[in-house]
Amino acid sequence: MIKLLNITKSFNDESVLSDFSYHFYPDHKYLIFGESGIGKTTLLNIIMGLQKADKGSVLSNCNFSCSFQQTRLFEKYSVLENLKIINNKENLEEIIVQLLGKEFIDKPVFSLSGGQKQKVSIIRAIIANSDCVILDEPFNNLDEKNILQCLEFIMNNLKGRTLIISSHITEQLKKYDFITIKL
Amino acid sequence: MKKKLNSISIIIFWLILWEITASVINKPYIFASFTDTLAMLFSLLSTKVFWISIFKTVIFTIFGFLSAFIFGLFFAIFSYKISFFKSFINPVLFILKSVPVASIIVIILLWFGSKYLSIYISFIVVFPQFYYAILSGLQNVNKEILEVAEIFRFSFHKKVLYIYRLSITPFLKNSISTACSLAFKSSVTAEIIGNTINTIGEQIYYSKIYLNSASLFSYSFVLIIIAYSFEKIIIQLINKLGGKV
Ligand SMILES: Nc1ncnc2c1ncn2[C@@H]1O[C@H](COP(=O)(O)OP(=O)(O)OP(=O)(O)O)[C@@H](O)[C@H]1O
Ligand SMILES: [Mg+2]
Repeated sequence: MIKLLNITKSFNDESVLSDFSYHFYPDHKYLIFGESGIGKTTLLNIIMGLQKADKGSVLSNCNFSCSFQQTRLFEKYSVLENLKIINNKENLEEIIVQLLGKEFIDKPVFSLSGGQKQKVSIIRAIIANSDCVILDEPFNNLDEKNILQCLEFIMNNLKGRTLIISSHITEQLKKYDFITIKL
Repeated sequence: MKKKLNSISIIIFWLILWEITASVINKPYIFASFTDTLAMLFSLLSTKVFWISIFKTVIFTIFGFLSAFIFGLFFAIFSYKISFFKSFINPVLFILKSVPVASIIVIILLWFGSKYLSIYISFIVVFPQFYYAILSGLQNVNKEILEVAEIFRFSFHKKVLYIYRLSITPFLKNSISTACSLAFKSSVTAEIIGNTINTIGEQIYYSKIYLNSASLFSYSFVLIIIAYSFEKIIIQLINKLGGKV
């Protein structure tokens, strides 16, 4: 359960969020959409506590896991190592084979393409122990087929957690019951 | 292979030039030839004082060097965490960095005598190197990756291993060559000035007194080899322990 109450945020007099209130419930999926620069990343950062709102409050008892818009992986480390750092229990190699391919297990992340990094970042967010998964523009650099594949992986492994996605791609999300929030 | 051959021929050129120069000057007590030096080195190898001197100088220098690393690490962490501490010790580091090593040697000699002189000196010259390298590493930690650590609730251990260590390693690598050669050069200088018993510095001092340039060259040569190997070992160690950077 995450409660946002009257969140206001501006950067140097430029207002990004004003008096924004919302409740996020467990086992629900949310899609935040809106044009570039409207404040999606800012809102997600405020939810996770990475940024402070100017006014208003965030009430949450959640542990978050997250895929950042700019992936932020450990570039020199392999795909498997990146995931192991986060959670050593899961069947990591199997997941990598399923989403990327066998040859990617030991590849250093810096040698991956933008879309491949994006996938690793999504996997990292999903395998972490958390109550709420936040994905900021997870489908950047991915084509139709890969988006569907990632969505299936996300949904299969959500296990009752809250999911909050920010995206300007909405077409492929229609078949899942997302609650949309237009900024 | 070709590169190796090239550097070998360059070295041979210089050795020949050395040999010729020595025979032209023809005063072996102030300018020993390469062959004289080599002969001297071999005869030194069988003396006890040679090995004792090398052992003592190397052990003392490395001890000072490693202590400097440990102290540099802790001081840098304190400075990173407490900005008052950083400003507070800044003048001391400034002085350590700018005062000529010879002055520091004389002061230490005056205060503590010559017995452990090279430990103090190698510590003092290397400490600022490590301190500044580690502090720069800490200050350059990637803030975005720190946020990743925050979100995924990294333990302290994990943060050190995957974030701070990776940030410090490049700075350490940059300063390690200077630190290694500085340590050995300064501690032998200190031994010469302080006339510390049973050290390389003392043997070099005697070479001067007895006008024995072959011995001077031999000890200097050995010193170069030791400092070079030490540097290589330390670099290997950093590569092994420093994480993937
Ligand atoms: N640290 C900052 N300093 C100043 N302005 C900022 C800062 N962060 C964001 N902004 C501004 O706030 C607005 C919202 O930014 P934000 O990154 O939240 O947009 P977004 O909706 O995520 O955009 P995109 O779809 O391109 O990712 C933008 O106009 C941006 O310029
Ligand atoms: Mg954004």
